[in-house]
Amino acid sequence: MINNHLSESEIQQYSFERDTCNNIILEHVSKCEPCRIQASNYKIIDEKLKDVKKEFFNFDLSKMVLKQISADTSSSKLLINLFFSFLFGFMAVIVIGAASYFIIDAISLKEQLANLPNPVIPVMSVCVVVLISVYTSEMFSRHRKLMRLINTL
Amino acid sequence: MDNPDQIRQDCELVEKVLRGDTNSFAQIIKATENLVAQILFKMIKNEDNRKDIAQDVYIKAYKNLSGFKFQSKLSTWIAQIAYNSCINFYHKKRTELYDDFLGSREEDDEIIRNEVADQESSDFQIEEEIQGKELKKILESEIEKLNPIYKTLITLFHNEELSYEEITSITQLPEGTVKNYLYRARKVLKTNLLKKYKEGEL
Repeated sequence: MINNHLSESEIQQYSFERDTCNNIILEHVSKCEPCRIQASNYKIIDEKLKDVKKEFFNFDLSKMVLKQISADTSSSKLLINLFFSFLFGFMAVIVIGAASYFIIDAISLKEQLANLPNPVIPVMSVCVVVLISVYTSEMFSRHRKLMRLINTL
Repeated sequence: MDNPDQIRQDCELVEKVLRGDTNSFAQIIKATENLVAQILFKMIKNEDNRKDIAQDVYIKAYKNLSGFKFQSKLSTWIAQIAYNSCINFYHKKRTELYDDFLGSREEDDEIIRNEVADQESSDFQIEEEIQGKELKKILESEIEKLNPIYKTLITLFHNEELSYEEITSITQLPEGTVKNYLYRARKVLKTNLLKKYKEGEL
């Protein structure tokens, strides 16, 4: 048996991790009233702590999170759509430009049109302007839609 | 993780969410929000911040769900995200979370030896009769006075009855540190309760 009283850590060990206590501690507590009182105080605190009321959110967390997730998904879809739209537009301009150039070359219009300004440049310019205006208007309409969705959250 | 049913249930839910079933994610939220609430209420005082962090926790969980390796319970993993989000919140606010006002464990041990010796004649004990609502109320107010990390650890261990392993997993603190913080927090609670009892408040 320990002659001195148990230390605070030994008393807590006895109170909360009794299966890890050695026999000296167990024996001491069984014979020492003050140490037993210290341990019983911790026992009471432990019991009362179990009864302390649990906190909870006063809002519907799952609803809020799911709304946020769907808004995030919409905005990432929008970005992907925009990326592919621009990629498609860019490729379209290249294809139209190249096709115009080769068609003109193939039907030997070049010589006939030698005195006229090269038509590839105006054709490409028109295509670019048309595509940019189409995609810009589409982008604005999607952006407005997204803003409306965010505002409703 | 020791419960195979829990693993299977977590697995099924995660798979469903990864296949795009957001209702399963709502189920995950419902099943874990109580634990997250215990952490957030102990760590964050401001209600608006708590609300923002709670949402942020689940958005992070949703985005990183494919990386969840089932090395712990899903609730433990989400609680870990919650705890880390709180720590990041304090870092952003540059607030010190840890303090050493309680002194070292060796000093405490010396004090308690003296206390026990002093009490041999007086037998100070938190008596059974004063275990009613009043003690619970005082205990709640004493918990609120603790440092946020101590408060959280006390809640996770005593209120949520989590194991040291789970608490270590949530807080990413070494087991020895968790035990040391719990030891200090309990000692403060006990000392303050006994002080109030001696002062006749109990």
